Amino acid sequence: MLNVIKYYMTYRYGLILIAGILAFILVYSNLLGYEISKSFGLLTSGLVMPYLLMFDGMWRKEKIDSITRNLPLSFSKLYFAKIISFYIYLAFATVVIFIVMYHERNDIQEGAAALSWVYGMIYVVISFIGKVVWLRDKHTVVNLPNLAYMILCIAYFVLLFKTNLLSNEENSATAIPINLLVLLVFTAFDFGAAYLNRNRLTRA
Amino acid sequence: MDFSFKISGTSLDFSKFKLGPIDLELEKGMAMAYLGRNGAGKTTTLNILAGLMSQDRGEIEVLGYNTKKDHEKWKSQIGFIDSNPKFYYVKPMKHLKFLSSFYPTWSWDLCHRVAKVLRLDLDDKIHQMSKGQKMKLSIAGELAKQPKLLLLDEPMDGLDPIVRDDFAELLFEYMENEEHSLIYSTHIIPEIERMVDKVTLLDNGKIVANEYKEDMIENWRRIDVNITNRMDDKPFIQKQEDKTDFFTITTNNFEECKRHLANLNIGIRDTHYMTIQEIVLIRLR
Repeated sequence: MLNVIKYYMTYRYGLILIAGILAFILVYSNLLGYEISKSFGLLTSGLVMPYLLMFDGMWRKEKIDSITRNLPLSFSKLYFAKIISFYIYLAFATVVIFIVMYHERNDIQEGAAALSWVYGMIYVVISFIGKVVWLRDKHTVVNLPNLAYMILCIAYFVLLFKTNLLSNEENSATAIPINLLVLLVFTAFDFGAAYLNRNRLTRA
Repeated sequence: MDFSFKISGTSLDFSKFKLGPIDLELEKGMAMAYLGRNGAGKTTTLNILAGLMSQDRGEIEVLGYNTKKDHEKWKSQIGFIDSNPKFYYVKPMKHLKFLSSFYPTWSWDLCHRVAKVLRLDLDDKIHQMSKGQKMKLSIAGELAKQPKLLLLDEPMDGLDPIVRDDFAELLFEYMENEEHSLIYSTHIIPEIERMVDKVTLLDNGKIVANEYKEDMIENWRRIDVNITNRMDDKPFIQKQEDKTDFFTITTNNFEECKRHLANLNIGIRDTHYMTIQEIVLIRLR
């Protein structure tokens, strides 16, 4: 299983490098006295994160499966190898993006809260697109966890804009648990959907 | 009797195509040709046998294991040479090392020997390889697993005639082990006629013939008969050709056809054995 995690990680080395270079530029240009504008910080995080999550939403579920499915491993092992590799990268990228956000806001809690919203929103949007693409696959069965996943995506945004959570400064402390919960719940539903489709061949 | 695989009442529905229900089995130590037109369901069957797809109905046993369970046990004993091989890494050796870590029976000696026989350069990068080179790499990897069941789906695709010949020799060598079996799907029938023990024909998702090769060759004949008009159609008469002063009848049951001709006092001029290719063409037309 470790071999498979390593295999999945290989495809993200390039992204890790991009995130690292961006962080390096941002941190060191600040230390040298150059002011990094807020828009530049948001732009960089806005570029890295969607690209990263595009991998998760589109690529992770589609292409890798048809290759690793040949291996003599159970579905659970393959799925968790994939998820673990993704979270390892996510953890690294979190540190990078957090540095960017912290430099923008100069406050750990505010920086973390802003980061978690960026994560949450982009994750939900990209994985929703990923689901739509996935469901259009002729070999994929529309199942309850998949539908529930998509409904959750919509509910997330409805909740976000109805409650005005984003603009409320006092809610910054709850932002991280909310988005962490979103990530975990969504992963659980994703596992359910993938499990029900485990014997279906995804597009090569 | 020991089977390398046993498919019972298996079917799989797609929106525009239905495979099955299929009942098919292959004894250990045997090689099966799995033939049919494009879109007949050959690749789907092989994908199901490889565990890449799952049937909607029916049971499948591979090497004694139910394919819906114990993936690690039976998948580690099969090899699948696909017409569209996929690779894990850019460098061939890294790909092979990754693959070898999952298969306890992996043989590096065999891997290097196959690469040498097929004139495969393991230093080239995979994305710079031609289709034929990629196929050779896939063959080297799958044979090095020393699988008990080898699934082949158009493996000759992209290979030049010399490599095809070398590959056929490697398959003969593989089949020398009585524990080994293979199922071979292809459109290039003459290249496998010598190798296979059984021939299975698939048409529009259904099996229309499943016979031992020797039986098929014995049963199917072309008979030149002294008649000037067509005979009445019979189930064992597959084709009648007017040759001006005689007719050539193609039968799939030589003995029954011979008895029928004797009953009608029709003289036989000559009989001809048919190749598997000729039989398949008539059967699938």
